[in-house]
Amino acid sequence: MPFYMGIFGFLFCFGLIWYMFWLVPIGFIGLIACQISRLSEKEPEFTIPKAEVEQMERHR
Amino acid sequence: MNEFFGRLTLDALKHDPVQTGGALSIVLGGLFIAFLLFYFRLWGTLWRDWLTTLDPKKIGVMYITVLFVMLFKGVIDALMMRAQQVFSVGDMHGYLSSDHYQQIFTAHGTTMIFFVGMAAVFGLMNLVIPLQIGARDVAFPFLNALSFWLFAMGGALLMLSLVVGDFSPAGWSGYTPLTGIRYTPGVGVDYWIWSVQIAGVGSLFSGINFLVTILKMRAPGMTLMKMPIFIWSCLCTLILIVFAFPVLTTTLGMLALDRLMGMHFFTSDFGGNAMMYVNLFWAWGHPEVYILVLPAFGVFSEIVPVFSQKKLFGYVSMVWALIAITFLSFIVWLHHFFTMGAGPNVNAFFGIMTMLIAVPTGVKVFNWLFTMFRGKVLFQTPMLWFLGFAVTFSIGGMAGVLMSIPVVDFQVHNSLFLIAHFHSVIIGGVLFGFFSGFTYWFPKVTGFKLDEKPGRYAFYFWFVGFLLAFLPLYALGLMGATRRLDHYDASTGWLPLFTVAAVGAVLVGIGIGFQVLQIIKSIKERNQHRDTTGDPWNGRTLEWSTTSPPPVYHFAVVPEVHSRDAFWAAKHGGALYQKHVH
Repeated sequence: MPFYMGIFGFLFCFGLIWYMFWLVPIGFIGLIACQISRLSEKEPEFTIPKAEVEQMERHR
Repeated sequence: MNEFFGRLTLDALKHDPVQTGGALSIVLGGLFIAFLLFYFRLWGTLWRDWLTTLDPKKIGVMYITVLFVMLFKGVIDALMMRAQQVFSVGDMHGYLSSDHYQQIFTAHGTTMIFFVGMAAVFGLMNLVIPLQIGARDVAFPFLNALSFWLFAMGGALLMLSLVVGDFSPAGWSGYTPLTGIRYTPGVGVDYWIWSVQIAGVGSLFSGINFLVTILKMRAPGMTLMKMPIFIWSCLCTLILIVFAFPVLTTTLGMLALDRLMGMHFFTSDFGGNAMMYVNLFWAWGHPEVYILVLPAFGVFSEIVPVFSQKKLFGYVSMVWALIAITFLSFIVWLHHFFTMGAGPNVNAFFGIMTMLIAVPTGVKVFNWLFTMFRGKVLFQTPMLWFLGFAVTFSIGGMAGVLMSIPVVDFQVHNSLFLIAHFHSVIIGGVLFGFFSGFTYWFPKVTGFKLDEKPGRYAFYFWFVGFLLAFLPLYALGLMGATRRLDHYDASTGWLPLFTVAAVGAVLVGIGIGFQVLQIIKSIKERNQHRDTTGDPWNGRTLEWSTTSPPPVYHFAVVPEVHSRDAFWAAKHGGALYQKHVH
């Protein structure tokens, strides 16, 4: 999703540079929508299970 | 239809022949990369492992990839300018139009400061900070990826300006009222504003992220005074970023409002104040040069002890020197415009503060030299970059102290003397520091070392090329040659010195060629250069205690720190925590 936010930021700036003013709200709303979606995630962190770590440690 | 595309018409694609060459090389380069991705069926890998990743090590690698692309572009800009100056004397007028030349020097500055310098800072921070403080990730991985993508999109806008439309002709510092809508109405300045703006917002986010990472995520036992000096230098850099970048964002925001909405923050009429822009820009701009160079100082503070096989001389004085530089760098911005006429008292204050900042910097240089003293110095590539730095940075630093005297500055303001000064400290400091750190941490990230021989050639070409390219500029500056010069009279007698400078720039170009060769050769022969121990340089800090490349979680068991140079202590008699060391 950070990549999409970058793209929306790019569209926002591109619209402002070329006075394509319909593109500006698209970029802006896209950025806000990504933020809302990110903030609504129930589980923002991930855990690597102990067993998986042990397996990876054995393999090196 | 016209409404739909705003200012964008087919005219935006029309360029003069030289510009068309640049645009074509961007388009063809992009198509070639796309072709390679199709040919090797790497789109899926690219998407899954890189574009969507939140892993700081991979984000660091992406920063450094962008850095090399932008460095390539910036150096081509530089070579074009130097060629123009050799071919544009007296009756000859070179091959570049004045307008195109203006865009090139603006693009060169913007590229090198925002997309090479900042990429070096954040690339190394991403790669090294979490490993060196014994953390498993950064504080805000999502924000970290977002910062990178905002930064990358800024770079993309800059590149796009080569193909669609044109770039700002008003210099990388974008002084008003020239950058106002009245004097520069085209899209160029808008490209400059928004590419810098979006990258700057990314930098601010990164700054907050790594500041929290360093303050909250250090391994147990690593108190502030037990942190490696690289972490200290990053901490100071991040404090500068968090204080300075909001100034840039608001300044550019106000300039954008001037241009888009007809406001009058920086215009010369209706109560606008163009000099306010200059103040605000350098209130960010001077801390910015320390943002670039402090991490390079940190890199050298890691490399010199490792390659001298001796602990760092004067750890505490190094820390205090960093803190002093951090503080002083916010009260020297006015030395960029002594000639504005702020009055003798103001100029004297800022002149003295500027001289003062040389003291902590000198402390650091002497500490590195004393670290080498009576050490068993290994002259490998990272150390060569340090030695080159010690020479070039000292030359540039002394020129800086000279210019901190307002009366001298009035003579050399905006001359090539100034250009020589800041290229000495930025190439000699930031870039040499980055190359040194890049060679040093490369095996940690990839699992194999860089081939030594092309690296040495690269260094010697860079170093000699640098001296040839910039020492003549000190003389030219004193002879009255100004910066941003695309034509001069033959009677000035500057041509020989400009020719030497151009030869130097070509040598630097060859040096970059050797670096590309070095990377390709090392990847091809990676099995001969494998680092199986995780500690190829006999390192001192925690990043060398895990494997190369490190697992995604960095440390299976979070290391405990009892002293400075924690890994060194563990290797030498630290049976206590041998089990954490792989």
